[in-house]
Amino acid sequence: MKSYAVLAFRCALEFVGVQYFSNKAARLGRANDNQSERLTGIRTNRVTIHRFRWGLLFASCCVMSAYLCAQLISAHTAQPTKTSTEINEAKAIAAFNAAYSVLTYPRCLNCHPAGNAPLQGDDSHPHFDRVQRGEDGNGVYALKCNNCHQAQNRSGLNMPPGAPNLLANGSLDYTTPRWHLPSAQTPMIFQGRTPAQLCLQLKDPKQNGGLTAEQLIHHVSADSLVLWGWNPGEGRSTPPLTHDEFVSKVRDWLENGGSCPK
Amino acid sequence: MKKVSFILNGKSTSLETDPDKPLLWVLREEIGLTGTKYGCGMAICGCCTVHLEGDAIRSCVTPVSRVEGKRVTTIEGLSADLSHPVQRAWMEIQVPQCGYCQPGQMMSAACLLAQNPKPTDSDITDAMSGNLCRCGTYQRVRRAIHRAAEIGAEKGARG
Repeated sequence: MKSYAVLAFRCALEFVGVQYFSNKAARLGRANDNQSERLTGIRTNRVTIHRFRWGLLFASCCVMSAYLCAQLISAHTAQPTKTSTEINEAKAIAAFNAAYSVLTYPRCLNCHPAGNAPLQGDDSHPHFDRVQRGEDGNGVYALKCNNCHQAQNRSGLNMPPGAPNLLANGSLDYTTPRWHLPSAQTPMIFQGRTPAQLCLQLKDPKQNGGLTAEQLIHHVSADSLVLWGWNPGEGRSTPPLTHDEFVSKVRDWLENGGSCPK
Repeated sequence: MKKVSFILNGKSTSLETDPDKPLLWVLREEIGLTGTKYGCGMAICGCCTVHLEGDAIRSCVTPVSRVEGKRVTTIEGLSADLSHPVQRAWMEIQVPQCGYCQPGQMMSAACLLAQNPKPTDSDITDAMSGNLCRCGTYQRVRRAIHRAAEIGAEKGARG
C-alpha cells in the first residue's frame, strides 16, 4: 500500500512539474513548435495529453487519500509498541537462557544431580566408588567428599579437583576443602531441568538455599565452588561462557526483573 | 619447607617438610609408619586411608599442610593392643588374603562403626565402596564389620 502511495505522489509531482515546464515552454517557444513539427513530421494532440494528465492527477489523489485513511485507521486499531516492562522481560529471558548454558554444563550440573549420587565427566556419569549425597550433602561414612577432595586441585591429569572453604567473612581458607553437594533437604537439582523449571527454582528462596536476588549474584560471583568451574584442573573442560560473562548474564536476568522462559 | 605440627596416634608430632607433600609419604618416609599403603595415588582405591579428626581421608592426595594442628590416626594407632573391635573381628574372621588393602579397609570400617555402631548391609556397602580389594575379600570384610559391631556392643554392654 505504501509503495502505491509513493507512486501516486511521484505522479502528482510529475504532473505539476510537467504543467509548469510545458506552460513555460509554450510561452517561450511556441514558434519553434511549428518549426519542430514541420521538421519531424509529428503533430501532438495537445487536448488528449492535457486530459490524460488531469486524469492522472485525480487518480494519484485518490490513491494518496486511501493511503492516509488506511494509516489513520491502523493507528487506532494496531497493537501498541512494546512497553518497557516487555522489553525488560525479553532481556531477562535472553540473559537467563545464556546463563542456562553454563548452569547445565557438566562442571556445574555434576554437583546438582537429580539423584543422590554426584556425577563426573563431560558425559555426567555417576561418581565412581558409589559415592552418595548424604543428608547434609557431604557424603556418607568413609566416603565423604572432603576425604578425597582438597582445598585446591591436585596436580596431574584427572586428579581429584578441589576448592577452598569460604569463611563467614568472605575470605578463602586454603587449608580446608569446601567440596560438597547441596543437602538432601534442598537438593537444588539442575540435571534434567528445562530453562523454565530451573529459572523458577533459582528464584525461589525455598529451593535456592534462602538466597535473595542480590545474594544469588554474589554467590555466582564469589563462591569458590562456582569459580572452580573455570579452573577445573587438568583433563576437564570449562563452560561455554567466561565467568565474567556468566555473572553478567545472571545480573542482567535478575536486574531486568528475573522473568523466566515459558 | 615448613614446620608442620599435628597429633599422630595420640602423640604430638612436629617436622620440617614440604607443606604440599602428601600425608602418606610423610607418614611412611619421614615418620616411618609403613602400615598405611600406597595404592593408586589418586584417591580411587582406598589403600592409603587414615583418620583425620575421625574422617577417613585418603592420605595419598592430602597435603600435609591440611593436618596442621589436627588429630591423625593410622592403622598403627587404632589400638595399642589389638583390642579395637575391628582388629579383633578381622583376626577372628581371617579377612586378609594378600593383605595389601586391609589397613585401608579396616580404617574405613572403623570410621563406619564410629558413626553407625550397628550398620546394615546397605550401610556397609555405602561406606566401603571406596575400598578396592584385588583378592576379592569383600564378603569377609562384610562379615567382619557385622562381627565388629557385635564385639563393640558387647564391650559397651560390659561398660
